[in-house]
Amino acid sequence: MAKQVAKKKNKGFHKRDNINGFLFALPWIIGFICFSLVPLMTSLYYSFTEFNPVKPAVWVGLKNFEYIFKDPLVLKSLKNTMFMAFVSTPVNLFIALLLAALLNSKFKGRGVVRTIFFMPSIIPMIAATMVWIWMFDPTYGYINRVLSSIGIDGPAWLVNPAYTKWALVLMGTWCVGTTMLICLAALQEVPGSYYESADIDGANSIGKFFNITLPCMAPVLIYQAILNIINSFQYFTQVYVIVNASSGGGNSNAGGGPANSILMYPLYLFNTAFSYMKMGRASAMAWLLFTIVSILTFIMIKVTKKVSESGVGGE
Amino acid sequence: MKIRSGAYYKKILKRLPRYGLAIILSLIFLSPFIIMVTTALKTNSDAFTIPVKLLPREVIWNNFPEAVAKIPYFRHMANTIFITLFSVLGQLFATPLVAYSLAKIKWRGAPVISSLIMGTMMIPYTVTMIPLYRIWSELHLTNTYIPLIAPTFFGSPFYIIIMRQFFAGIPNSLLEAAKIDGAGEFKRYILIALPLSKPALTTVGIYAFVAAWSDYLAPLIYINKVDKLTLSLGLQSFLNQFSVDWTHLMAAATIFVIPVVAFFLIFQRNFVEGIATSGLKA
Amino acid sequence: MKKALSCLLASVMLITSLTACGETSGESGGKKEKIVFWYSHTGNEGEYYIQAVEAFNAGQDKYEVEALSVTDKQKYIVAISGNDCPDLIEVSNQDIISYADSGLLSPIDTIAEQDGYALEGTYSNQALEANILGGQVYGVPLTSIIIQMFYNKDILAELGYSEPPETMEELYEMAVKATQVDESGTITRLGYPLFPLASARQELIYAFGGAWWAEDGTTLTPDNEKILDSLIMNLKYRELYGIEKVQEFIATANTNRYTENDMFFAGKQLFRFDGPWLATMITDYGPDVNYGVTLIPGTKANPENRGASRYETTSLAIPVSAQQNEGAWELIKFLSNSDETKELLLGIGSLPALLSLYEDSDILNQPNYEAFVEALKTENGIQYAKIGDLAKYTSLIEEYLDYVYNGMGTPEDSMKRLEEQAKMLE
Repeated sequence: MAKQVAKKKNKGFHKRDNINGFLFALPWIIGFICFSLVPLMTSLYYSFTEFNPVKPAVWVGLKNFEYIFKDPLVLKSLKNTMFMAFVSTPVNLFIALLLAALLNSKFKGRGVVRTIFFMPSIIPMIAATMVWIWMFDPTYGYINRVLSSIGIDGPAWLVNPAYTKWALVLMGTWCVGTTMLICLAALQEVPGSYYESADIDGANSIGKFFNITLPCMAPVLIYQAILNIINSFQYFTQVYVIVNASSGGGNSNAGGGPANSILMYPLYLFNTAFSYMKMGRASAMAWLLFTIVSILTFIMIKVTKKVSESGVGGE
Repeated sequence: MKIRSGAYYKKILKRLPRYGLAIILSLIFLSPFIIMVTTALKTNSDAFTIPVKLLPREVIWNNFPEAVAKIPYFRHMANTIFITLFSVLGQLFATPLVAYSLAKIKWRGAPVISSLIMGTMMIPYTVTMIPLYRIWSELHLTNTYIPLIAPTFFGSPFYIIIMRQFFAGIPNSLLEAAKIDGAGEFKRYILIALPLSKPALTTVGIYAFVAAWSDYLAPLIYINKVDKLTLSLGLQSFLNQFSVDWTHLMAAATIFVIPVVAFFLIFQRNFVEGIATSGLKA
Repeated sequence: MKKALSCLLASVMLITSLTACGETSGESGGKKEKIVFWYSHTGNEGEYYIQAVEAFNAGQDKYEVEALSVTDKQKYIVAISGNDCPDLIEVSNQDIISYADSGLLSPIDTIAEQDGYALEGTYSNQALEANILGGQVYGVPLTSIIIQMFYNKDILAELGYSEPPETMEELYEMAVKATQVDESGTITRLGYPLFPLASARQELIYAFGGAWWAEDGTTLTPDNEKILDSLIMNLKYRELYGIEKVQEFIATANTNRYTENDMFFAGKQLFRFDGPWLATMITDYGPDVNYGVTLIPGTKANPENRGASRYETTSLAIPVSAQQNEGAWELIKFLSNSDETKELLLGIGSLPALLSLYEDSDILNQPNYEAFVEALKTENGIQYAKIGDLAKYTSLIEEYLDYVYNGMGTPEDSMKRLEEQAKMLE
């Protein structure tokens, strides 16, 4: 008995628990190996080869990487993706916060409004994108129609390269439901006593927002920013559909929208793999993407930690 | 009495901008839905007549049966339902098992697995896409639903995190009591943990439903036979090589979206709770 | 644990049995051997393919063809490289070259040779040339695609012209007179042929004698000076009405392209560089637009450029992993060289690649086909460059043209940058 206790103390775990825990987690472990680890490593190997589905992989060394580093479209698509990551993300966070703040105040029908704000997030992306393409038409679309009624001459959203990405940003704000709900939950967790003491000090509501609300929510907001940015690097369906819908008249080339302005990195990668059939090169692109996302994630986690440590609790 | 009602009106007045904002924003957020439905009810020339009108000049219900007839709609829907059903089953099988292991069993691997799960969330799908395609292709399983369904039987990070949070909230005392009664780990899981976690399971099920129903990239890669396509790919047939058939497209999209919206309205609470629990835990 | 295991096992079994079902059903073809044929047309046009295939099925008892309309290009590639590969595909000649370059297609000329079937002399030379890579033919041309100029006769008459323009300078003058704007500056009628996008990028350049590659098909020539001439005139027109307004018109034209509300059908476009299918569509949709077809203009300095157009084909090809090579070859011959060929071409509004149909009275009697057939006979259509990175080059060309057309860069500057970037292509 004493021996067993000592053993338990030593390792901190029961042997049976270790076995059970492992068995329970086994599905995920198998899945991780089959669907993440092995493909990840294979992808790394592929990135040094040239192959397509009917040609076996041939080792070509660093050729793929040399190619993608001088490919103007890789650079272009990276820039486009960065735009989505670093312009769309703050816009989305801002809108989500605004909506959450509105929902956090008391008024009749709040539940209905919350439902309305959130619903777009669960709509299948392809259906949503098609509706938006239709709404973006400069003549028959609703957006410019509404804009013109308030005296603004709307642009040719999906045709003018200067506006295409802003159209995507606009489309993105429609789907901030998830972030909004998380912001709402975070808002509700801010202790009411903070506001009360601020009221005594005579702070106005803007001051309260910047001095209390925002710092309290910082960890949540940063985490959401990370997720948003990572999601930006997966931005695919919307642009794939837009490009397909607007490429007319026997133009069979896998394109990237007007002036390649919505050629997002995943779209270019997809085209490289499944249209140009350069799967080795696409794998090299995938690893470049993976590296970038990893670095960004690492930085973000460091930042989050810093913010949480210097956090609100101490004030 | 009079004083009170004065204050009451003052309160209402103070809230008026709030109501105004809520109404305007609600309209903006609803507008794509409204436009989708009203366009589906228009004739093609109505949709392309200036001035643009929100409501159809003449309501055309025929667009719906016509849209359904233009593509093998019911076939696609049956395929989508099939995939969705199995994906939900898969997630409901794997998610609680893994989450239970992480939340309720004190074992050596739990912290490692937890951080690995967070890690895999960061891997973009495009990175594993090519090797996975290659593997399924070598196994001659492209053009089947296995590449779409199989991964769900091994759990997804997002759902596992939701479920783990939920399990963490179940008092250990309940499980301890059963342990004293001689119940093994698996029995405790089946008899106590699972029945208690119905709300969380519902949440996971709903998310899995929406995800599978809307999935686009995976079917795009793996399915290429017309009679095996899913609805999200089928919708794309309305963008044919020359033109886009907008009114029928909107009609088809409306029918496609309805189940998701209905599901959402029924299970709204689960959606909201699921997101709140997963999102706050950074 | 048992329960979970049996649960898993049951689901795995269920899935495998379901896929097994799918496979066996594919083989149940009875005595006839099954040929799977994928074609890229839908709607009305697709119907004519189905008719042609039914005629094939009825005409012999060895094969049974299953015809599937597949429009998504990406599906072809995945299907060819995976299981469930079609035996015969119908795609554009650009795709033929690109697939052949990736090793996805079987060469056709060897099959034809074994069968004692002469490709040369049966199909036009430029049609075959369009399907050749590395000296081997990979696709049998079914239709020819060239672009010529459609014009709205009523608008021309209203402006006081009786004849369509023969030079771009004349065209420009008419275009400016024809263009109308409303009080807000929105263009309600477009004169210059800026839509469809694909022809604006090709024929509008070729008309000036511009070319994106040299005749050898491998040297890229983004520095061609005639391209600049085209861009300068184009920009001049755009600036006259405001680039933004022109783009808005084009965006909407693209949204309702080839529907009953198409800008040309609605009388809102004077000139349109488009293919013969436009005539078929006009007949199908029955709008009362009074139109004519003529050769694309040349320039004052180079009138011989008249009629300059890309030359493309839609072609039939056999993927490497096809199961029924012989059957597919029989179907190729039937579709591309039989009585049914004419019916198919007339139905889908396409030009022949089969030489014997050049003089066919039914073809020539189609509305406004003479201009197209005349242009075909000259055999001087512009072929695509045969470089591995053609798709990428096209993408870059489109990008830099878009900068010019949107006023985001001068023609000279943009073409310089394009030249810079094109250097790394293979």
